[in-house]
Amino acid sequence: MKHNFPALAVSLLAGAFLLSVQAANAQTNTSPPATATRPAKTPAEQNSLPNNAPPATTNQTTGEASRDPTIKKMNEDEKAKVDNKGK
Amino acid sequence: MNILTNPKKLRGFEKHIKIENVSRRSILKTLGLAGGFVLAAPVMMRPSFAYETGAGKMPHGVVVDPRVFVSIAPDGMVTIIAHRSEMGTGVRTSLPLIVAEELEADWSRVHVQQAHGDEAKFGNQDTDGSRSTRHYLIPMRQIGASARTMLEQAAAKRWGVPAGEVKAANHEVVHSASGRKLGFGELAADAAKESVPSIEGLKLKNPKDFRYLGKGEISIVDLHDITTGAAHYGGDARLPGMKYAVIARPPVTGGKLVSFDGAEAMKVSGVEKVMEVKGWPWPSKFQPLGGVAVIARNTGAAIKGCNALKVTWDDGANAKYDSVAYRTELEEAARKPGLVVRKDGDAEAALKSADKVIIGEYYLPHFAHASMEPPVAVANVKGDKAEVWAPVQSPGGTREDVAKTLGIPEENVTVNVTLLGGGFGRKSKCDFALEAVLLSKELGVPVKVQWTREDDVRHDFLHTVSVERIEAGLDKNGKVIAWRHRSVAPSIASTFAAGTVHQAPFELGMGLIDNPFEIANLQCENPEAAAHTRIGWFRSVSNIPRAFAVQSMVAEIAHATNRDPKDMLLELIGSPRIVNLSSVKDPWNYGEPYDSYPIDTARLRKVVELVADKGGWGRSVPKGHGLGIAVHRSFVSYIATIIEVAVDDKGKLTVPRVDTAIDCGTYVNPERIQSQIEGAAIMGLSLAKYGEVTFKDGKVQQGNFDDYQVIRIDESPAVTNVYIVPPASPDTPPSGVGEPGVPPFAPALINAIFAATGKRLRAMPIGKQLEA
Repeated sequence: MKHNFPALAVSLLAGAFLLSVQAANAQTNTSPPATATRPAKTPAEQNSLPNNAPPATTNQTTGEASRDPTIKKMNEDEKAKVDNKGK
Repeated sequence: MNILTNPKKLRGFEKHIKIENVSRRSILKTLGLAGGFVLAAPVMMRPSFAYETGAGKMPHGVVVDPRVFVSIAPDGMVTIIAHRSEMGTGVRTSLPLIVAEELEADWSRVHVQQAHGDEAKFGNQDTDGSRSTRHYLIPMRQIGASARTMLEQAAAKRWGVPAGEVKAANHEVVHSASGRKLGFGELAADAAKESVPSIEGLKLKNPKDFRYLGKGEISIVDLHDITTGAAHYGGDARLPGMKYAVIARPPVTGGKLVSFDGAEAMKVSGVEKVMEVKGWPWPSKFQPLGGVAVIARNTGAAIKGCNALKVTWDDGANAKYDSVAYRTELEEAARKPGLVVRKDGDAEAALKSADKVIIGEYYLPHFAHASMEPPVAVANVKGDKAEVWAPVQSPGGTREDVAKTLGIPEENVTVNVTLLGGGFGRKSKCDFALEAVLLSKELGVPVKVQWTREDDVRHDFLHTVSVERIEAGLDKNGKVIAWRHRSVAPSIASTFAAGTVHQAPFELGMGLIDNPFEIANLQCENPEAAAHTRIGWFRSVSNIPRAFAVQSMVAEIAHATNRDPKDMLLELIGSPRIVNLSSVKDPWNYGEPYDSYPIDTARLRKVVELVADKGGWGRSVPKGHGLGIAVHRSFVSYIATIIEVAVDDKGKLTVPRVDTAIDCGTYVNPERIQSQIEGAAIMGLSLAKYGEVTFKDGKVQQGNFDDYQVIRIDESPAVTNVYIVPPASPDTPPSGVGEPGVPPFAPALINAIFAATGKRLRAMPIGKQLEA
């Protein structure tokens, strides 16, 4: 089984992209050293407005039906999809 | 077949053929270069075999066309397209291997190429639901057989002999009478001119002649690259001029951005821009949550910039979501009647008349997928065209959602699938790819969106939280005469349908309404449970809490009636029969026809008996050790597990041995089955010991592996034995393997802990519950 191919190349015979890969390799020379840069454990500079939402319950839904027609259609299509095939 | 017919015109391109992804435009380019061969439209065909599957009902169904999946170069190299995503299951090997088997290709001369997202061309590409082999064993065999037939017909014409006198074998076609032979490469051009044979007339190989299928002797095609670090995952994709983005998202589901100050972020070396990312009100399928993106020259700078952001959020309606309080809500709901979703006999009356009623309430918290590779995607949007590189389980769905989100035609979107560093259902949702395309469109350059581990855990589509309450009524002889199971859990449907309070049929069909027990009075209910965070598919989905509850209850009844748990289990399963689900309004069966995939209690019993035999059920174990057993049918496979645990006097838990028996029908690669069961044991133990995502003030309280732990190697089961039930016949339908190993693990473990300690645990994770 042949398996050791340049995986980043995406298109069969797509020369333009292959050139892109070579260029991208050159770019990696300027990348910073791979020292760990970690996300903040707790984002200290992020805060929330005071909120008077009720406690979460099992019978009170909190989502809202989308008014965006595209999203509304995507939601409906996905619902129909899982009802039909279960995903 | 996409057969290259003119080597001279290909000069200079040969080395580029061996690449991992294949796109529509590249194939067309290939054909243009090759000349003389026109790729016809894919053939949508209904596979014809001894059994039906649900494959045809999946979006875009099944494509059975060798011209789409197979190409043969003049040097004989066979290229087979893998149209499913590789996330560790070995599917990128197994499906092409099926084609190669029927094609009579020499596997050492086969190259596998990853398909891009294009379901009109390749058929359904959703790599989830443990469906790939189940749905594609027969279609892939037919594709290979079609290509083989075309090669044989071409050879027969070349030699002027009847096609019936020639036979493909090991990468060549042979005319035995004259001793003539031609290699596949020599026949490729002529074979391309042959018409694709009808499925009905195809002659498939006799399984006794299989060289690869069922043997387990072929390594996965990615093994070398994965083990040497050469494999390319989503994070490895880079484009010239690409910018790196890390995003601060609303910490509460349904929350939104109020304001932000990016001044400090912009001071970080390498940060170039701070900008808002569009989000949509929840629920909005797999759309981005929105937030603030830090755009930088590298990922490290983007993370540092994100840490320096000042942001104010409006947490919205889920700001009081609290795991402790919500558990109480679920428990209260489980103690009241709910929507009846299965009713056999009269469980209510039988419980009232029972000599004894045993009640168990079982709690399972949210789980995060926490795949080793967090979500990541690269996108390049130019005008009305978009190209994406991402580790997605649903490349076709991603393509569709990218097109809709950008408002461009689907054919203008190319989704290139990288290897997935784990998926577990998380990467069926393409929100991270949508973030990348939106940012690329806005910035006019390629953009990589990199999720951190914290992003992954805090903004996941989590496994649902649930309470399962079971009441079992026993007569004076200890026989179970009533069973009422209430399952309370927010539904995945809440992720795209506001107002959802009940589970969807596919969730109810995972271990609730498909209960196989032979009990005259059996009732299943589904009380309301509104979601307050994003819920999504997680490996094994609702089978995990259901198997945990049902199989724990079996052991509890056994203990209460002083019987052996394995014997109790077999008694409840009852006689060998096909379970009648006529009392269920919507008996979802993993999308499969019940005729092909019924609930067969003979098979369920068999895996119990097999694992009991092989796993030494009843053997004596040292003090502090215990054995537990559980069985579960999921993804139309049958699987039973025995676990031996050891618990020391300080409550430290170890797992010396796991034994699992699986009946997954006809199988392709037993080595992969072994590895999936081993992986399920690792995951099952991780979830049971540590798996828990909690909420306080609507926010996830965990973030990384220090507080959302997975087991380390020294905690892993020392031995995991796997026993595969041979298929009853070559026509036994294949069933799922990737997910079924997880559900029976937790109850077998919990039952073993009870045997070792006398402590019955009804809530996960185990955490510190065993500590003295």
